[in-house]
Amino acid sequence: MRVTQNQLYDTLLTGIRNQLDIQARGNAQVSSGKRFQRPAQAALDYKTSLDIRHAQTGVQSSLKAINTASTRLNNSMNALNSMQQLLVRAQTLAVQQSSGQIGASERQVAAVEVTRLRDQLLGFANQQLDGQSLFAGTVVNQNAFTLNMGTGVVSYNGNATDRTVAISSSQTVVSNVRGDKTAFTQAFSAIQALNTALSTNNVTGIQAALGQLNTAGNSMTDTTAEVGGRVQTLDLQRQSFEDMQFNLEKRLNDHEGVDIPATISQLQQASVAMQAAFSQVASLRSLTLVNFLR
Amino acid sequence: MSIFSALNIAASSLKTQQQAINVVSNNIANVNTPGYSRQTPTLGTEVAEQLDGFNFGRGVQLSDIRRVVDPFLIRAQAGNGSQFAFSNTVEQGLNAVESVFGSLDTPGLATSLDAFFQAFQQLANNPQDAAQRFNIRARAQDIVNELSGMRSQLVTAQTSADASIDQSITQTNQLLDQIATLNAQIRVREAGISGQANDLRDQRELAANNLAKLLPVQIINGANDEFLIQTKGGDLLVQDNTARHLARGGAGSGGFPTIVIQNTNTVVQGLDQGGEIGGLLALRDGQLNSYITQVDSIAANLTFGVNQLHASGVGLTLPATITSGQTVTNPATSIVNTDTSVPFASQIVTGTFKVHVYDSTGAPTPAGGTTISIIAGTTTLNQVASDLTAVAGITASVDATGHLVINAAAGNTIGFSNDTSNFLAAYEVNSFFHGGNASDITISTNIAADGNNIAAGMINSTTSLHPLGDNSVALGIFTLQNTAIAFDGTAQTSLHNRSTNLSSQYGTDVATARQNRIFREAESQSLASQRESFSGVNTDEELIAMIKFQRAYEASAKVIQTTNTMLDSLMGLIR
Repeated sequence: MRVTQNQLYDTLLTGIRNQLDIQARGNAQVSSGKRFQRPAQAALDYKTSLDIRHAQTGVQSSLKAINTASTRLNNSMNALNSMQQLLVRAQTLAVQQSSGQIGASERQVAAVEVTRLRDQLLGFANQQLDGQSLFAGTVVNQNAFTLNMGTGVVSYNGNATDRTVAISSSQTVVSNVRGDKTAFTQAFSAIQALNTALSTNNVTGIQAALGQLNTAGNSMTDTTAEVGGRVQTLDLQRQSFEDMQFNLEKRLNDHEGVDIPATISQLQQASVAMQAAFSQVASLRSLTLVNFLR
Repeated sequence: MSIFSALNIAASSLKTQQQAINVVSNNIANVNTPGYSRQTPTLGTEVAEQLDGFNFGRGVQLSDIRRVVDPFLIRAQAGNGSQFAFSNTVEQGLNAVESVFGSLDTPGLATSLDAFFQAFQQLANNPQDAAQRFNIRARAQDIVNELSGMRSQLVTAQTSADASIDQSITQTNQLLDQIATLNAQIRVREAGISGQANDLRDQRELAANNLAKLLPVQIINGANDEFLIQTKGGDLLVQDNTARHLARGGAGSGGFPTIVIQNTNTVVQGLDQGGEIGGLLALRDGQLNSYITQVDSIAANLTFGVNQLHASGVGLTLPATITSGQTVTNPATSIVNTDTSVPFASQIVTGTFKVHVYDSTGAPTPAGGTTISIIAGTTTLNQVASDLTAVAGITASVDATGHLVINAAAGNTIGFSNDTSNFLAAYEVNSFFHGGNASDITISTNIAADGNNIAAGMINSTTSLHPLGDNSVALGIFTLQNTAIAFDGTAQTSLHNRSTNLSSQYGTDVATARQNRIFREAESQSLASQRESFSGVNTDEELIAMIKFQRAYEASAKVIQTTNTMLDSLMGLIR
């Protein structure tokens, strides 16, 4: 094949350009630690990166949502536990006051304590978190229960809608305990019955109220246990999302991370090739007949 | 035969070797001239002289100066140049809009969408919280900025590509003139002589190759070896010494002017098959247009998808006056077909919505609200206004600018729910976004004025109550991100997928353009190398040829000297 000087220079120039391109890409990868940064560098890989990041953001939000739900349920559970204690105290009083040796005046004193217990029970039932009623359904800006001072009857003031928390776009969990649950109704009804029986010195009524208190206590225990179960489920979900977060982070690193030794090796090879090309360009200058014609 | 014949023969040699050295010198002088083809002197003997029964040679002559070219290579280079320019233009154009699609280290559209929908997730989890609403408004503004910024940059790139076409047309016309002129000059130069106008032919080849880099052309050698040039679509551009210029015509694809033959309405065909102009057209009407359409589609689906849910929702406060975001020019015609300026009018279907009126104490009057019926294709905006006015406690009208304005009586407030007709979302009553695509998307005036107007829950259709803890609307909007939707006639897919598909398509387009460019570049280098091998000047070869001609020249001079000595001897005999 016939070869001209320009061909030789052009071939060397093309080689030098290619090596420079390898150097530029390698330097960008080594300095950023990533195989690619922009969609133009890796179309489908870039989309995968966006998808992984989207999933990561979703997991972070899910963890926040779980915390929100968990906080509400934990506070609800604390209130239910306190209510449970109040019911135990009411039961104790009922047992004491059902004795035939107790007189009317002593029962009047006990009725005062039961009234206080009812008020405390109402306080816990109307407990708020961040200014929102815990047990009023979605009517969070109102007290869950109101007391009729005349009759002493406590009635539910919320609605029958649960407060949901979106863990993800496909999963919601109920984050509240509604005050229209049987446990609340039974608790207020039982304590009101005890109060009335004590005020009227009605031993039979006290014994009946004791039965109601037992039932209400059991319901309250069941409700508390159910909430505890939901909190536990949320804890398991949190653990699952934390594992997912770790896996996504690892996947993202595997997907985007650059193979540093391989890149450095390529850079070295490009560097050697470029030095050889430069040397060849210099030596081509002397390889011409012009230098020998005197 | 006389002794002078030897002198004449030597003289012919001196002249011919000198001419040959001139050719060599011209080759060396043009070693780096683009498009130059090396030339070789062809030496031939003079016609012999018959004398005394012998044929005596009469010396040497330069019979031709031949240009060393391979026509196949030249045509292949023109074709390759056209395709290389096409790929290179597309790649450069795509690289210029790279910043539109962001990078992993900078927030882009996908990140903004994530943040917007997560803000709604947080509102769903805390629906009574005003701070969450202000966060949503800020994230929504980010998306609006992102979408309108992307569209603006893409439109600028599209306009820039169109402006570049004008520059390429100017260059094309100059080259067409040059080729027509060279056709004429070559014919004049070659008239009556056997040799070719080598340098002019090189210039014409170079001009034709440069023309092919601008637009896809067919180069045909005419009867007199002149260039006849036409586009791939068959439009004649150069014939003999006549060039037909390109110019911009009336509005064509995307509203951009077409390319026509000057002084005619003939739209030039086949321009998108190669060359810089083809690349610019492909970029303008293909990739960039596709990206703009996709950005618009994301904006449209986001706008209507969110508005559809939001219009039936309720915020922390209820308004006393509501003005529709969309306007009509003729409120007496159907709300579906009346006006193309209402982007989502076609989404309106036969259905109903409820309007709830509350007195100054916040009590609904009446509980359960009032149902307004919409019949697609029949109900007019005037009819809607009339039906709303019939509801106790509010009045409605279409104002002079075509807005539907709903006013509550003093102390009253208004709310909406259960829109199954899509009227509220289409006319932007109680909407979140305003607009129809990325060029005009904004946050609705109502929400821009007060973040508390962002809906998280719904009004109960039976009781008209709207508990603060209701998060049904916020939940619906949150799930919208990963729900396959389409309100603009495109295929159903989620907003997240739409945004990532856009980046992915851009990346694929760049990769394809780069691959094409690399292939064409390698082909170009190979063809250039082959041409250089065949037609290029090798200075060593030329120097060796020069030495040969120089030595022949010296030998001929020696012949003259010897002949002169012979003549001296002869003259000495006479003295």
